[in-house]
Amino acid sequence: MKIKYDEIMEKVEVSGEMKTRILSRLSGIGPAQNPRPKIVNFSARRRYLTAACLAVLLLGSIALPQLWNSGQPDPDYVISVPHIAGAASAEELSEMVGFAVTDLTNLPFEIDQAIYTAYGDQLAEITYQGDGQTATFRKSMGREDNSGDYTIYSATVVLQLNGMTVTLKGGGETYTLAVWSDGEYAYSLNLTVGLTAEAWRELILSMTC
Amino acid sequence: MLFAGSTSSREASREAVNREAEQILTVYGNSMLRFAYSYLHNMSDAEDVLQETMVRFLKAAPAFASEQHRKAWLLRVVGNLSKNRLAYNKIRMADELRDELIAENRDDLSFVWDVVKALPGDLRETIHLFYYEGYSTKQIADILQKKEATVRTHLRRGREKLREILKGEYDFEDKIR
Repeated sequence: MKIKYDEIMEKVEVSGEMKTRILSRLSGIGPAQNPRPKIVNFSARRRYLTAACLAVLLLGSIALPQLWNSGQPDPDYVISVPHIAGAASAEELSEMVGFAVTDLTNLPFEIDQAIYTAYGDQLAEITYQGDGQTATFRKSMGREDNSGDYTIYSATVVLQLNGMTVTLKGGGETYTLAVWSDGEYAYSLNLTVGLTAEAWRELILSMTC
Repeated sequence: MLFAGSTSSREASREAVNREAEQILTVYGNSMLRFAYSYLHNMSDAEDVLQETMVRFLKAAPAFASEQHRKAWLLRVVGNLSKNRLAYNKIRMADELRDELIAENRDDLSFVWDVVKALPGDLRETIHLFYYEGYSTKQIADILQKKEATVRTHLRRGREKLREILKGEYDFEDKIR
C-alpha cells in the first residue's frame, strides 16, 4: 500500500497556471534596478548559509511584500537579476561585460562549438563543447569563486602558479573544477572529464601566459 | 576569431535560459513545491519560495556535475528560503492541502498530515526528504548542510514521534529503503 504521506504530497503540485505565472515573471525580467549582487564564495558552508540568508532578506524586503497579497502577476514588478545575454564571439562578449575575455585554445578536446554568455556586466561565460565533453570557463570582476558550483568535492588541492593560488576540486586522482584569481579578476574552469593536477597546471599556465 | 557565430546565437542563448527554466519547473517543480509546502503549509508561500528559488537559480547560473546535484542544489535553496521565511515572517493560517483532504473526507490522510505538520521543523524536513524524496541520510546531510550524524538523529527522533502517535497504523516504515 502506498504510504499515506506520498498520497498527501501528490495533492501538492505545480499546476499549469502556476507554471505559467512563474515563467511569465521570470521572462519579464528587465535590466537590474539595483547594483548587481556580489558573487559569493560558497565553498564554506557557513559563508553560504550566511550569504543565502542575507540575500533572501535583501530580496525579501524588496519583493515579497508585493507578492504576498497578490494572486495575479504584477506587470510592474521587476525582479532584480542579472540581464543574461548571448554574444557571437569572445570580442563581442568582452564589449558586453566591459573587460577582456579571450577564447581558450588548449582545452583537452577538440572544440565543435562555443557559446558566449554575459551575465549582466560582471560575469562572462564561454561554454565549449566537443568530443562529448563540455568545458565552462568564467571570468568576473573580483577575487571570489564565480563557478556557481556548490558541489561538495571529496578532493581539493591548491597550486601556486605564477603568483596565483589555484584551487582544484574533484574526486580521486583527477579534478574537474579549477578556480583562481589574478587579484583583479576571478576565473573558473569546469570540465566534464577531470584532469590530473599536472595537466591542470599546464592548462592554466597556457591560459595565463 | 576562432569560433565565429551569428547574431542568432544571442537569441539562442536567451532562449536556452528560458527553456532551462521551464525544464527545471517541469522536472523538479513538484519536488520543490512539496518541500516548500512541508515547511510553510500553504500554497501561496510555497509558490513564492518556488519562484524565488528559480530567480536564484538564474542569478547564480550554477554548474552541476550531474542531475542529482542539480536537484540537490534546488532543494537546498528551497529549504533555506522556506526556513528564512518561517524565521522572519508569520506563518499564514491557510493550509489548502488540509482543507482539500477534509473536503474529500479523507480523515486518514488529514490525520497523517496533521501529525507530520506537528513535528519540529528539523525532524519534518528530514522525514520529508527521506521518506518522500527517497534520499539517503548522506544525501540529506548534503542538501540540508548538516552532519550525517545529525540527520540520522533527526530521522530517528522523527520516526519515534510518528510511531508514537500513528501507532503503526500508517507506518512510514512501509516504504522499503
